[in-house]
Amino acid sequence: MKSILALAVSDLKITFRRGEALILNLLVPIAVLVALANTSTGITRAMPFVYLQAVLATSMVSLGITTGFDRRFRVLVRLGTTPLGRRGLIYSKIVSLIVLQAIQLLILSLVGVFLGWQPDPKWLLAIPLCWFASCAFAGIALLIAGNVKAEANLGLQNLLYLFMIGIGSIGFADNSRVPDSVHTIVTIFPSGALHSLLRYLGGIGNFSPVALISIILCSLALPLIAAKKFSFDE
Amino acid sequence: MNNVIQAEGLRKSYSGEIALDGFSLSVPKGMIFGLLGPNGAGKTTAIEIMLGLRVSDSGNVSVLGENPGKNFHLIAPKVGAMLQEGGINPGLKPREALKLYSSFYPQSLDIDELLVQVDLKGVNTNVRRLSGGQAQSLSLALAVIGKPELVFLDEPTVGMDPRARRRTWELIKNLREHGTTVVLTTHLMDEAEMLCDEIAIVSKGKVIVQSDTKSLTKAIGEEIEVEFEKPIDLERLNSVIGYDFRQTQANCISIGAQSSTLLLKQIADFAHEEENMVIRYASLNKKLEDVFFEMTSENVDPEMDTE
Repeated sequence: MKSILALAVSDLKITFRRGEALILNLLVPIAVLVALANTSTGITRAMPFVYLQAVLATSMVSLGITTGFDRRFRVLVRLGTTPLGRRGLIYSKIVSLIVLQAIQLLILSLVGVFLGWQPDPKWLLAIPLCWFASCAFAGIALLIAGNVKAEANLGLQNLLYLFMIGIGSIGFADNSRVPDSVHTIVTIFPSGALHSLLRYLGGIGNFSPVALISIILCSLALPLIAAKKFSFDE
Repeated sequence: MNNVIQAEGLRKSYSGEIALDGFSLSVPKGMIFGLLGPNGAGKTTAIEIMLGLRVSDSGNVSVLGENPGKNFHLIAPKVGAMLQEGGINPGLKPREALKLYSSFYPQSLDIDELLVQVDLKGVNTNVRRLSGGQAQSLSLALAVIGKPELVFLDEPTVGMDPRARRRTWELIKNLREHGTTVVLTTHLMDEAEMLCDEIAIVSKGKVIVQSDTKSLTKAIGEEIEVEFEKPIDLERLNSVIGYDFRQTQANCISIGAQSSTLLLKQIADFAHEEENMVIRYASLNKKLEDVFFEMTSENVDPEMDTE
Protein backbone atom coordinates (compact mmCIF):
# COMPACT_ATOMS: atom_id res chain seq x y z
CA MET A 1 0.00 0.00 0.00
CA LYS A 2 2.88 2.35 0.89
CA SER A 3 4.43 1.87 -2.54
CA ILE A 4 1.10 2.33 -4.36
CA LEU A 5 0.53 5.64 -2.57
CA ALA A 6 4.14 6.72 -3.17
CA LEU A 7 3.82 6.20 -6.91
CA ALA A 8 0.41 7.93 -6.97
CA VAL A 9 1.87 10.96 -5.15
CA SER A 10 4.85 10.97 -7.51
CA ASP A 11 2.55 10.84 -10.57
CA LEU A 12 0.44 13.69 -9.20
CA LYS A 13 3.56 15.77 -8.53
CA ILE A 14 4.71 15.27 -12.12
CA THR A 15 1.23 16.15 -13.44
CA PHE A 16 1.14 19.42 -11.48
CA ARG A 17 4.62 20.27 -12.80
CA ARG A 18 3.57 19.83 -16.41
CA GLY A 19 2.14 23.08 -17.68
CA GLU A 20 0.19 21.49 -20.54
CA ALA A 21 -1.48 19.06 -18.13
CA LEU A 22 -2.65 21.94 -15.92
CA ILE A 23 -3.99 23.80 -18.94
CA LEU A 24 -5.84 20.76 -20.27
CA ASN A 25 -7.16 19.49 -16.93
CA LEU A 26 -8.01 22.73 -15.19
CA LEU A 27 -7.62 25.97 -17.10
CA VAL A 28 -9.55 24.89 -20.23
CA PRO A 29 -12.58 23.57 -18.28
CA ILE A 30 -12.63 26.73 -16.12
CA ALA A 31 -12.39 28.95 -19.23
CA VAL A 32 -15.21 26.99 -20.92
CA LEU A 33 -17.32 27.23 -17.75
CA VAL A 34 -16.84 30.98 -17.45
CA ALA A 35 -17.56 31.46 -21.17
CA LEU A 36 -20.71 29.29 -21.23
CA ALA A 37 -22.02 30.73 -17.96
CA ASN A 38 -22.11 34.14 -19.58
CA THR A 39 -24.02 33.04 -22.70
CA SER A 40 -27.59 31.91 -23.23
CA THR A 41 -26.46 28.40 -22.24
CA GLY A 42 -26.29 29.47 -18.63
CA ILE A 43 -24.39 28.01 -15.70
CA THR A 44 -26.89 25.20 -15.00
CA ARG A 45 -26.55 23.77 -18.50
CA ALA A 46 -22.81 24.50 -18.60
CA MET A 47 -21.86 22.50 -15.49
CA PRO A 48 -22.66 18.99 -16.83
CA PHE A 49 -20.78 19.75 -20.03
CA VAL A 50 -17.74 21.12 -18.20
CA TYR A 51 -17.71 18.09 -15.91
CA LEU A 52 -17.73 15.87 -19.01
CA GLN A 53 -14.88 17.86 -20.52
CA ALA A 54 -12.83 17.66 -17.31
CA VAL A 55 -13.37 13.91 -16.94
CA LEU A 56 -12.37 13.33 -20.57
CA ALA A 57 -9.25 15.47 -20.11
CA THR A 58 -7.97 13.60 -17.04
CA SER A 59 -9.22 10.06 -17.58
CA MET A 60 -8.61 9.81 -21.27
CA VAL A 61 -6.23 12.37 -22.78
CA SER A 62 -3.92 13.01 -19.84
CA LEU A 63 -3.77 9.39 -18.71
CA GLY A 64 -3.39 8.15 -22.27
CA ILE A 65 -0.58 10.51 -23.19
CA THR A 66 1.45 10.05 -19.99
CA THR A 67 1.03 6.27 -20.21
CA GLY A 68 2.19 6.35 -23.84
CA PHE A 69 5.37 8.19 -22.93
CA ASP A 70 5.93 6.07 -19.80
CA ARG A 71 5.77 3.10 -22.13
CA ARG A 72 8.16 4.76 -24.61
CA PHE A 73 10.73 5.45 -21.87
CA ARG A 74 10.27 1.91 -20.48
CA VAL A 75 9.16 3.35 -17.14
CA LEU A 76 6.42 0.73 -16.95
CA VAL A 77 8.80 -2.14 -17.72
CA ARG A 78 11.22 -0.99 -15.03
CA LEU A 79 8.46 -0.55 -12.46
CA GLY A 80 7.37 -4.08 -13.36
CA THR A 81 10.71 -5.38 -12.04
CA THR A 82 10.16 -3.85 -8.59
CA PRO A 83 8.03 -5.26 -5.77
CA LEU A 84 5.32 -2.79 -6.85
CA GLY A 85 4.58 -5.08 -9.79
CA ARG A 86 2.10 -4.55 -12.59
CA ARG A 87 -0.94 -4.77 -10.34
CA GLY A 88 0.47 -2.13 -7.97
CA LEU A 89 1.23 0.04 -10.97
CA ILE A 90 -2.40 -0.08 -12.14
CA TYR A 91 -3.76 0.56 -8.62
CA SER A 92 -1.52 3.58 -8.17
CA LYS A 93 -2.66 4.99 -11.54
CA ILE A 94 -6.27 4.61 -10.38
CA VAL A 95 -5.52 6.34 -7.05
CA SER A 96 -3.79 9.28 -8.74
CA LEU A 97 -6.63 9.57 -11.27
CA ILE A 98 -9.30 9.62 -8.53
CA VAL A 99 -7.40 12.24 -6.51
CA LEU A 100 -6.72 14.39 -9.56
CA GLN A 101 -10.34 14.20 -10.63
CA ALA A 102 -11.61 15.01 -7.14
CA ILE A 103 -9.42 18.14 -7.02
CA GLN A 104 -10.49 19.11 -10.53
CA LEU A 105 -14.23 18.66 -9.96
CA LEU A 106 -14.05 20.42 -6.58
CA ILE A 107 -12.37 23.47 -8.12
CA LEU A 108 -14.86 23.51 -11.02
CA SER A 109 -17.78 23.27 -8.56
CA LEU A 110 -16.40 26.15 -6.49
CA VAL A 111 -15.99 28.27 -9.63
CA GLY A 112 -19.55 27.30 -10.63
CA VAL A 113 -20.96 28.32 -7.25
CA PHE A 114 -19.02 31.59 -7.51
CA LEU A 115 -20.70 32.15 -10.88
CA GLY A 116 -24.15 31.60 -9.37
CA TRP A 117 -24.68 27.88 -9.84
CA GLN A 118 -27.20 26.30 -7.46
CA PRO A 119 -26.80 22.53 -7.76
CA ASP A 120 -29.70 20.10 -7.46
CA PRO A 121 -29.22 17.75 -4.44
CA LYS A 122 -29.05 14.85 -6.91
CA TRP A 123 -25.79 16.41 -8.13
CA LEU A 124 -23.88 14.73 -5.29
CA LEU A 125 -24.14 11.54 -7.35
CA ALA A 126 -22.21 13.24 -10.14
CA ILE A 127 -18.82 12.55 -8.51
CA PRO A 128 -19.23 8.75 -8.24
CA LEU A 129 -20.80 8.76 -11.70
CA CYS A 130 -17.75 10.58 -13.07
CA TRP A 131 -15.43 8.11 -11.37
CA PHE A 132 -17.42 5.27 -12.89
CA ALA A 133 -17.34 6.85 -16.34
CA SER A 134 -13.61 7.41 -15.87
CA CYS A 135 -13.15 3.64 -16.01
CA ALA A 136 -14.61 3.64 -19.52
CA PHE A 137 -12.49 6.58 -20.72
CA ALA A 138 -9.37 5.18 -19.04
CA GLY A 139 -10.08 1.89 -20.80
CA ILE A 140 -10.12 3.66 -24.18
CA ALA A 141 -6.98 5.64 -23.30
CA LEU A 142 -5.02 2.57 -22.20
CA LEU A 143 -6.22 0.49 -25.12
CA ILE A 144 -4.65 3.05 -27.48
CA ALA A 145 -1.61 3.93 -25.32
CA GLY A 146 -0.76 0.28 -24.80
CA ASN A 147 -0.75 -0.62 -28.46
CA VAL A 148 0.60 2.24 -30.58
CA LYS A 149 3.77 4.33 -30.60
CA ALA A 150 3.90 7.36 -28.29
CA GLU A 151 3.62 9.96 -31.07
CA ALA A 152 0.67 8.25 -32.76
CA ASN A 153 -0.91 7.84 -29.34
CA LEU A 154 -0.56 11.59 -28.70
CA GLY A 155 -2.39 12.42 -31.93
CA LEU A 156 -5.07 9.75 -31.48
CA GLN A 157 -5.86 10.74 -27.89
CA ASN A 158 -6.37 14.37 -28.93
CA LEU A 159 -8.49 13.42 -31.94
CA LEU A 160 -10.61 11.13 -29.82
CA TYR A 161 -11.02 13.89 -27.24
CA LEU A 162 -12.45 16.18 -29.91
CA PHE A 163 -14.71 13.40 -31.20
CA MET A 164 -15.98 12.56 -27.70
CA ILE A 165 -16.54 16.22 -26.86
CA GLY A 166 -18.37 16.64 -30.18
CA ILE A 167 -20.62 13.66 -29.43
CA GLY A 168 -21.21 14.87 -25.88
CA SER A 169 -22.08 18.39 -26.97
CA ILE A 170 -25.01 17.14 -29.08
CA GLY A 171 -26.73 16.83 -25.71
CA PHE A 172 -26.97 20.63 -25.66
CA ALA A 173 -29.33 20.64 -28.63
CA ASP A 174 -33.07 20.84 -27.93
CA ASN A 175 -35.24 17.83 -28.70
CA SER A 176 -37.13 19.97 -31.18
CA ARG A 177 -33.98 20.42 -33.26
CA VAL A 178 -32.45 16.96 -32.90
CA PRO A 179 -34.65 13.84 -33.29
CA ASP A 180 -34.97 11.42 -30.37
CA SER A 181 -33.27 8.72 -32.41
CA VAL A 182 -30.11 10.86 -32.66
CA HIS A 183 -30.16 11.51 -28.90
CA THR A 184 -30.44 7.74 -28.34
CA ILE A 185 -27.52 7.02 -30.65
CA VAL A 186 -25.46 9.71 -28.92
CA THR A 187 -26.06 8.13 -25.51
CA ILE A 188 -24.60 4.86 -26.72
CA PHE A 189 -21.18 6.57 -26.73
CA PRO A 190 -19.69 6.93 -23.24
CA SER A 191 -19.29 10.72 -23.56
CA GLY A 192 -22.87 11.15 -24.76
CA ALA A 193 -24.07 8.83 -21.99
CA LEU A 194 -22.14 10.70 -19.28
CA HIS A 195 -23.40 14.08 -20.46
CA SER A 196 -26.98 12.79 -20.56
CA LEU A 197 -26.78 11.40 -17.01
CA LEU A 198 -25.04 14.53 -15.68
CA ARG A 199 -27.78 16.69 -17.23
CA TYR A 200 -30.36 14.52 -15.47
CA LEU A 201 -28.53 14.90 -12.14
CA GLY A 202 -28.34 18.65 -12.78
CA GLY A 203 -32.15 18.74 -13.11
CA ILE A 204 -32.19 19.70 -16.80
CA GLY A 205 -32.90 16.48 -18.62
CA ASN A 206 -34.75 13.19 -18.49
CA PHE A 207 -33.26 10.00 -17.14
CA SER A 208 -31.96 7.85 -20.00
CA PRO A 209 -31.80 4.10 -19.25
CA VAL A 210 -29.79 3.66 -22.48
CA ALA A 211 -27.16 6.08 -21.14
CA LEU A 212 -26.93 4.22 -17.83
CA ILE A 213 -26.61 0.83 -19.53
CA SER A 214 -24.00 2.25 -21.92
CA ILE A 215 -21.91 3.69 -19.07
CA ILE A 216 -22.10 0.46 -17.07
CA LEU A 217 -21.17 -1.72 -20.06
CA CYS A 218 -18.36 0.57 -21.24
CA SER A 219 -16.96 0.93 -17.71
CA LEU A 220 -16.77 -2.81 -17.30
CA ALA A 221 -15.82 -3.92 -20.80
CA LEU A 222 -13.32 -1.30 -21.96
CA PRO A 223 -10.86 -1.62 -19.03
CA LEU A 224 -10.98 -5.41 -19.39
CA ILE A 225 -10.23 -5.21 -23.11
CA ALA A 226 -7.45 -2.69 -22.41
CA ALA A 227 -5.93 -4.93 -19.73
CA LYS A 228 -5.98 -7.89 -22.11
CA LYS A 229 -4.48 -6.01 -25.05
CA PHE A 230 -2.09 -3.70 -23.16
CA SER A 231 1.58 -4.16 -23.89
CA PHE A 232 3.98 -2.68 -21.32
CA ASP A 233 6.78 -2.44 -23.84
CA GLU A 234 6.67 -0.33 -27.01
CA MET B 1 21.13 -22.94 -2.44
CA ASN B 2 24.45 -22.35 -4.20
CA ASN B 3 23.12 -21.15 -7.53
CA VAL B 4 20.99 -18.02 -7.44
CA ILE B 5 20.05 -18.52 -11.09
CA GLN B 6 19.53 -21.84 -12.82
CA ALA B 7 18.30 -21.85 -16.41
CA GLU B 8 17.92 -25.00 -18.46
CA GLY B 9 17.10 -25.24 -22.14
CA LEU B 10 15.26 -21.93 -22.46
CA ARG B 11 13.68 -21.32 -25.84
CA LYS B 12 11.99 -18.15 -26.95
CA SER B 13 11.01 -16.84 -30.35
CA TYR B 14 9.25 -13.70 -31.55
CA SER B 15 7.11 -14.14 -34.66
CA GLY B 16 9.31 -16.98 -35.89
CA GLU B 17 12.60 -15.22 -35.03
CA ILE B 18 14.53 -17.36 -32.56
CA ALA B 19 15.90 -15.31 -29.65
CA LEU B 20 16.83 -18.15 -27.29
CA ASP B 21 17.65 -21.62 -28.52
CA GLY B 22 18.38 -23.89 -25.58
CA PHE B 23 19.85 -21.28 -23.24
CA SER B 24 21.31 -22.90 -20.12
CA LEU B 25 23.12 -21.11 -17.34
CA SER B 26 23.95 -21.40 -13.68
CA VAL B 27 25.02 -18.39 -11.64
CA PRO B 28 26.66 -19.13 -8.28
CA LYS B 29 25.87 -16.99 -5.27
CA GLY B 30 27.90 -13.97 -4.29
CA MET B 31 29.91 -13.36 -7.43
CA ILE B 32 30.06 -10.91 -10.30
CA PHE B 33 28.88 -12.91 -13.27
CA GLY B 34 29.47 -11.59 -16.77
CA LEU B 35 27.05 -12.29 -19.58
CA LEU B 36 28.80 -11.50 -22.85
CA GLY B 37 27.74 -11.84 -26.43
CA PRO B 38 27.27 -9.94 -29.65
CA ASN B 39 24.20 -7.78 -30.25
CA GLY B 40 21.15 -9.95 -30.85
CA ALA B 41 22.72 -12.99 -29.14
CA GLY B 42 19.80 -13.27 -26.73
CA LYS B 43 21.24 -11.74 -23.53
CA THR B 44 18.46 -9.20 -23.01
CA THR B 45 15.72 -11.75 -23.69
CA ALA B 46 17.32 -14.10 -21.16
CA ILE B 47 17.50 -11.34 -18.53
CA GLU B 48 13.90 -10.30 -19.21
CA ILE B 49 12.80 -13.90 -18.65
CA MET B 50 14.77 -13.99 -15.38
CA LEU B 51 13.03 -10.76 -14.33
CA GLY B 52 9.59 -12.17 -15.07
CA LEU B 53 9.03 -9.65 -17.86
CA ARG B 54 8.75 -12.40 -20.46
CA VAL B 55 7.89 -16.07 -20.34
CA SER B 56 9.97 -18.62 -22.23
CA ASP B 57 8.30 -20.87 -24.81
CA SER B 58 9.94 -23.88 -23.15
CA GLY B 59 12.66 -24.76 -20.66
CA ASN B 60 13.02 -24.07 -16.96
CA VAL B 61 14.36 -21.13 -15.05
CA SER B 62 14.75 -20.58 -11.34
CA VAL B 63 15.81 -17.28 -9.77
CA LEU B 64 16.46 -17.29 -6.01
CA GLY B 65 14.58 -20.57 -5.92
CA GLU B 66 11.43 -19.34 -7.68
CA ASN B 67 10.05 -19.43 -11.20
CA PRO B 68 10.12 -15.73 -12.17
CA GLY B 69 7.40 -16.19 -14.81
CA LYS B 70 4.95 -17.30 -12.14
CA ASN B 71 6.24 -15.99 -8.83
CA PHE B 72 8.33 -12.93 -9.53
CA HIS B 73 6.40 -11.05 -6.83
CA LEU B 74 7.95 -13.40 -4.24
CA ILE B 75 11.53 -12.56 -5.24
CA ALA B 76 11.05 -8.94 -6.39
CA PRO B 77 12.00 -7.50 -2.95
CA LYS B 78 15.38 -9.25 -3.25
CA VAL B 79 16.11 -8.38 -6.88
CA GLY B 80 17.36 -5.15 -8.45
CA ALA B 81 17.52 -4.38 -12.15
CA MET B 82 19.19 -1.79 -14.31
CA LEU B 83 17.76 -2.06 -17.80
CA GLN B 84 19.43 -0.83 -20.94
CA GLU B 85 17.05 2.08 -21.44
CA GLY B 86 16.91 3.73 -18.02
CA GLY B 87 13.15 3.39 -17.52
CA ILE B 88 13.07 6.38 -15.19
CA ASN B 89 10.28 8.91 -15.42
CA PRO B 90 11.89 11.95 -17.09
CA GLY B 91 9.83 14.35 -14.94
CA LEU B 92 11.43 13.18 -11.67
CA LYS B 93 14.56 14.50 -9.99
CA PRO B 94 17.27 12.02 -8.89
CA ARG B 95 16.43 12.29 -5.17
CA GLU B 96 12.69 11.94 -5.88
CA ALA B 97 13.28 8.87 -8.04
CA LEU B 98 15.40 7.25 -5.31
CA LYS B 99 12.84 8.11 -2.64
CA LEU B 100 10.07 6.60 -4.77
CA TYR B 101 12.00 3.40 -5.44
CA SER B 102 13.07 3.09 -1.79
CA SER B 103 9.37 2.97 -0.87
CA PHE B 104 8.96 -0.19 -2.98
CA TYR B 105 11.42 -2.28 -0.95
CA PRO B 106 11.27 -3.59 2.62
CA GLN B 107 14.75 -2.18 3.31
CA SER B 108 16.75 0.43 1.52
CA LEU B 109 20.14 2.10 1.38
CA ASP B 110 20.57 5.62 2.68
CA ILE B 111 19.57 7.95 -0.17
CA ASP B 112 22.15 10.64 0.67
CA GLU B 113 24.99 8.14 0.86
CA LEU B 114 23.94 6.57 -2.42
CA LEU B 115 23.73 9.98 -4.12
CA VAL B 116 27.30 10.65 -3.01
CA GLN B 117 28.46 7.23 -4.25
CA VAL B 118 27.07 7.84 -7.75
CA ASP B 119 28.14 11.51 -7.75
CA LEU B 120 24.60 12.89 -7.99
CA LYS B 121 24.59 14.70 -4.66
CA GLY B 122 23.27 18.21 -5.23
CA VAL B 123 22.00 17.43 -8.75
CA ASN B 124 18.54 18.96 -8.63
CA THR B 125 17.43 18.71 -12.22
CA ASN B 126 14.82 16.53 -13.91
CA VAL B 127 15.96 13.18 -15.29
CA ARG B 128 15.32 14.42 -18.82
CA ARG B 129 18.06 17.05 -18.35
CA LEU B 130 20.70 14.69 -16.93
CA SER B 131 23.71 13.79 -19.09
CA GLY B 132 23.90 10.23 -20.40
CA GLY B 133 26.44 9.28 -17.75
CA GLN B 134 24.41 10.87 -14.93
CA ALA B 135 21.27 9.06 -16.07
CA GLN B 136 23.22 5.77 -16.08
CA SER B 137 24.49 6.50 -12.56
CA LEU B 138 20.94 7.17 -11.35
CA SER B 139 19.70 4.03 -13.04
CA LEU B 140 22.40 2.04 -11.25
CA ALA B 141 21.50 3.65 -7.92
CA LEU B 142 17.83 2.70 -8.44
CA ALA B 143 18.86 -0.90 -9.10
CA VAL B 144 20.66 -1.19 -5.76
CA ILE B 145 18.54 1.08 -3.52
CA GLY B 146 16.59 -1.90 -2.14
CA LYS B 147 19.71 -3.78 -0.92
CA PRO B 148 19.15 -6.61 -3.39
CA GLU B 149 20.52 -10.14 -3.02
CA LEU B 150 20.72 -10.33 -6.80
CA VAL B 151 21.12 -7.44 -9.20
CA PHE B 152 21.04 -7.40 -13.00
CA LEU B 153 23.13 -4.66 -14.57
CA ASP B 154 22.68 -4.31 -18.31
CA GLU B 155 25.60 -2.31 -19.71
CA PRO B 156 25.94 -0.15 -16.60
CA THR B 157 28.85 2.02 -17.74
CA VAL B 158 27.67 2.95 -21.25
CA GLY B 159 27.96 6.72 -21.72
CA MET B 160 30.05 7.25 -18.59
CA ASP B 161 33.32 9.16 -18.53
CA PRO B 162 36.40 7.24 -17.24
CA ARG B 163 36.02 8.63 -13.71
CA ALA B 164 32.37 7.67 -13.46
CA ARG B 165 33.16 4.27 -14.93
CA ARG B 166 35.84 3.66 -12.29
CA ARG B 167 33.43 4.78 -9.55
CA THR B 168 30.81 2.39 -10.90
CA TRP B 169 33.31 -0.48 -10.91
CA GLU B 170 34.07 0.23 -7.25
CA LEU B 171 30.36 0.24 -6.45
CA ILE B 172 29.89 -3.10 -8.22
CA LYS B 173 32.86 -4.63 -6.37
CA ASN B 174 31.43 -3.25 -3.15
CA LEU B 175 28.13 -5.01 -3.86
CA ARG B 176 29.97 -8.33 -4.14
CA GLU B 177 31.77 -7.68 -0.86
CA HIS B 178 28.38 -7.29 0.80
CA GLY B 179 27.21 -10.63 -0.59
CA THR B 180 25.15 -9.41 -3.53
CA THR B 181 25.29 -11.50 -6.70
CA VAL B 182 25.76 -9.28 -9.74
CA VAL B 183 24.80 -10.34 -13.25
CA LEU B 184 26.64 -7.95 -15.51
CA THR B 185 26.00 -7.57 -19.22
CA THR B 186 28.67 -5.59 -20.98
CA HIS B 187 30.32 -5.07 -24.32
CA LEU B 188 33.47 -3.77 -22.67
CA MET B 189 35.88 -6.67 -22.44
CA ASP B 190 38.31 -4.88 -20.12
CA GLU B 191 35.39 -4.24 -17.77
CA ALA B 192 34.32 -7.89 -17.84
CA GLU B 193 37.88 -9.17 -17.46
CA MET B 194 38.54 -6.91 -14.52
CA LEU B 195 35.23 -7.29 -12.65
CA CYS B 196 33.82 -10.72 -13.39
CA ASP B 197 34.60 -13.82 -11.40
CA GLU B 198 32.86 -15.98 -13.94
CA ILE B 199 31.75 -15.40 -17.51
CA ALA B 200 29.25 -16.91 -19.90
CA ILE B 201 29.49 -16.17 -23.61
CA VAL B 202 26.17 -16.17 -25.43
CA SER B 203 25.88 -16.68 -29.15
CA LYS B 204 22.83 -17.40 -31.31
CA GLY B 205 20.53 -17.78 -28.33
CA LYS B 206 22.60 -20.18 -26.25
CA VAL B 207 25.49 -20.13 -23.82
CA ILE B 208 28.45 -21.50 -25.74
CA VAL B 209 30.90 -21.36 -22.87
CA GLN B 210 30.72 -20.71 -19.13
CA SER B 211 33.85 -20.58 -17.07
CA ASP B 212 35.74 -18.58 -14.49
CA THR B 213 37.42 -15.66 -16.22
CA LYS B 214 41.04 -16.75 -15.70
CA SER B 215 40.49 -20.31 -16.90
CA LEU B 216 38.61 -19.05 -19.93
CA THR B 217 41.51 -16.98 -21.24
CA LYS B 218 44.00 -19.69 -20.29
CA ALA B 219 42.07 -22.53 -21.95
CA ILE B 220 41.91 -20.78 -25.25
CA GLY B 221 45.68 -20.67 -25.28
CA GLU B 222 48.18 -18.21 -26.51
CA GLU B 223 48.60 -15.83 -29.36
CA ILE B 224 51.79 -16.32 -31.34
CA GLU B 225 53.16 -13.31 -33.14
CA VAL B 226 55.97 -13.59 -35.68
CA GLU B 227 57.80 -10.71 -37.29
CA PHE B 228 59.87 -11.21 -40.46
CA GLU B 229 62.64 -9.09 -41.86
CA LYS B 230 60.75 -8.59 -45.14
CA PRO B 231 57.07 -8.89 -46.13
CA ILE B 232 55.91 -12.48 -46.66
CA ASP B 233 53.50 -14.33 -48.91
CA LEU B 234 50.77 -15.29 -46.40
CA GLU B 235 48.90 -17.61 -48.73
CA ARG B 236 52.03 -19.61 -49.44
CA LEU B 237 52.98 -19.72 -45.75
CA ASN B 238 49.55 -21.06 -44.81
CA SER B 239 49.61 -23.72 -47.52
CA VAL B 240 53.16 -24.86 -46.68
CA ILE B 241 52.75 -25.03 -42.89
CA GLY B 242 49.07 -25.89 -42.83
CA TYR B 243 48.08 -23.23 -40.29
CA ASP B 244 45.71 -20.32 -40.69
CA PHE B 245 47.95 -17.36 -39.91
CA ARG B 246 46.58 -13.79 -39.98
CA GLN B 247 48.65 -10.98 -41.44
CA THR B 248 48.75 -8.13 -38.92
CA GLN B 249 51.28 -6.04 -40.89
CA ALA B 250 53.12 -6.58 -44.18
CA ASN B 251 55.92 -8.39 -42.38
CA CYS B 252 54.00 -9.57 -39.32
CA ILE B 253 51.73 -12.58 -38.81
CA SER B 254 49.84 -13.99 -35.84
CA ILE B 255 47.84 -17.04 -34.89
CA GLY B 256 46.00 -18.30 -31.84
CA ALA B 257 47.93 -21.46 -30.96
CA GLN B 258 50.13 -23.00 -28.32
CA SER B 259 53.76 -22.05 -28.78
CA SER B 260 56.00 -24.93 -29.87
CA THR B 261 59.57 -25.33 -31.06
CA LEU B 262 58.30 -27.41 -33.99
CA LEU B 263 56.11 -24.56 -35.19
CA LEU B 264 58.96 -22.07 -34.76
CA LYS B 265 61.26 -24.35 -36.77
CA GLN B 266 58.67 -24.70 -39.56
CA ILE B 267 58.27 -20.93 -39.78
CA ALA B 268 62.02 -20.35 -39.70
CA ASP B 269 62.53 -22.95 -42.49
CA PHE B 270 59.85 -21.32 -44.59
CA ALA B 271 61.47 -17.90 -44.11
CA HIS B 272 64.86 -19.31 -45.06
CA GLU B 273 63.46 -20.79 -48.30
CA GLU B 274 61.90 -17.41 -49.12
CA GLU B 275 65.22 -15.63 -48.46
CA ASN B 276 63.64 -14.00 -45.47
CA MET B 277 64.22 -14.39 -41.74
CA VAL B 278 62.31 -14.30 -38.46
CA ILE B 279 63.40 -11.28 -36.45
CA ARG B 280 60.89 -11.61 -33.59
CA TYR B 281 58.84 -14.49 -32.22
CA ALA B 282 56.48 -13.69 -29.33
CA SER B 283 54.06 -15.79 -27.41
CA LEU B 284 51.35 -13.70 -25.77
CA ASN B 285 48.58 -14.65 -23.38
CA LYS B 286 45.20 -14.04 -24.94
CA LYS B 287 42.87 -11.40 -23.62
CA LEU B 288 39.19 -11.92 -23.00
CA GLU B 289 38.45 -9.85 -26.08
CA ASP B 290 40.35 -12.36 -28.24
CA VAL B 291 38.47 -15.21 -26.63
CA PHE B 292 35.18 -13.42 -27.21
CA PHE B 293 35.90 -12.87 -30.90
CA GLU B 294 36.99 -16.44 -31.43
CA MET B 295 33.96 -17.87 -29.71
CA THR B 296 31.45 -15.62 -31.47
CA SER B 297 33.26 -15.07 -34.76
CA GLU B 298 30.36 -16.33 -36.89
CA ASN B 299 27.94 -13.65 -35.86
CA VAL B 300 29.79 -10.68 -34.47
CA ASP B 301 28.16 -7.37 -35.20
CA PRO B 302 30.83 -5.27 -36.92
CA GLU B 303 29.54 -2.13 -35.22
CA MET B 304 29.79 -3.61 -31.77
CA ASP B 305 31.66 -1.53 -29.24
CA THR B 306 34.63 -3.42 -27.95
CA GLU B 307 36.78 -0.52 -26.81
